Amino acid sequence: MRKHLVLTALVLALLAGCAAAPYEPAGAPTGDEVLDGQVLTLLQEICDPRASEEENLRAAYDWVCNEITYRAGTADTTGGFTEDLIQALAREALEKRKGNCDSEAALMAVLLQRLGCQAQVVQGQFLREGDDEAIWVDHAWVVAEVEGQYYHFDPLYGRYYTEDRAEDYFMQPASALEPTHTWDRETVPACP
Amino acid sequence: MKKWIVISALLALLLAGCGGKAAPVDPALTIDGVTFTPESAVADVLETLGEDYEYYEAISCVYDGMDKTYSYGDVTLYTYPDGETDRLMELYCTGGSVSAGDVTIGSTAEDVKAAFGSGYTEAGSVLTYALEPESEQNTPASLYFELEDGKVCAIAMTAEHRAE
Repeated sequence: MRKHLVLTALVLALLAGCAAAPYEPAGAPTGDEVLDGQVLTLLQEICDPRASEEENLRAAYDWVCNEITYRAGTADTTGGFTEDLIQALAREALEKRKGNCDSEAALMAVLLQRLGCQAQVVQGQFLREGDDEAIWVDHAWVVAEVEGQYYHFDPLYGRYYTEDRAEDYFMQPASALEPTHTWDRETVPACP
Repeated sequence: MKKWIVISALLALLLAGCGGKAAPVDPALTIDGVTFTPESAVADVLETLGEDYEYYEAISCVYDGMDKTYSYGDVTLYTYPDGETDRLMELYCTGGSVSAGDVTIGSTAEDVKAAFGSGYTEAGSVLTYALEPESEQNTPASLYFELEDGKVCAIAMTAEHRAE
């Protein structure tokens, strides 16, 4: 009898796990119906309602790092990252799984916003090591507010340089990025 | 006894399905009758496609040198720097006389699968047939098809590469 009760409890627990409500992101959609639908589908695939906020942010960051393949971009970003540009770049990156730092930053910002964080794309420079010398190159990444503090997220360099440099560009304070990134301190919220 | 035979047969089929590996697809694109592979030299591609292109270049986000893009409208060539040489990163076609095997713009997803088999991955609106890269760090050589409403709207080929 006890054996049956235990088995029944196990089956019920299993069914409850299977029937768990899908992840519901806390943030607002962008207003672009196609993009919002794709973002919601993605976040429900990769995020876990039982996980912490940071774990779900990490899941989104890892997804961008691992799933978007680098391809040179031709978008004109000299006028800054307007909402329309961010949405267009994010949609293209999601559909085609390709993009450069601009596309990855745009997509990262959209995902973080939908996860409930205030996020903005940062236009700055990155110190890229070359064969002969290191040079500063134009670059884009994201700053987002998590639990009252602002942090940097740089998925492109997270993928290409984390192993080589043993550094990580997920949810970093400003001090962690200063050796390799520069940005306009007046337009980007101060990070710890 | 018969029951066990049926179960064994089903198990065998299941295992065969799990272990079956589709033959790799050699990426190649034919544009205006000329076939390109991931090893094609950028100069040869440019010579074939001509000089009527829009050109973009920018310091590469990840490579030591300049990323270059040659846009012909229906065809776009992306290159990456490898020392003094520009190498083919991707050839991306949305129209014109482009084909991969029997697949052309407007073919169906089923046409693609019939032509290249089941060894694809599907992500977003893209079906990709990728070769095993030499290193896990590398982006693999691949042939991929973008779909819109179930029909091919772009055919592209990428060469294996990685950041410095």
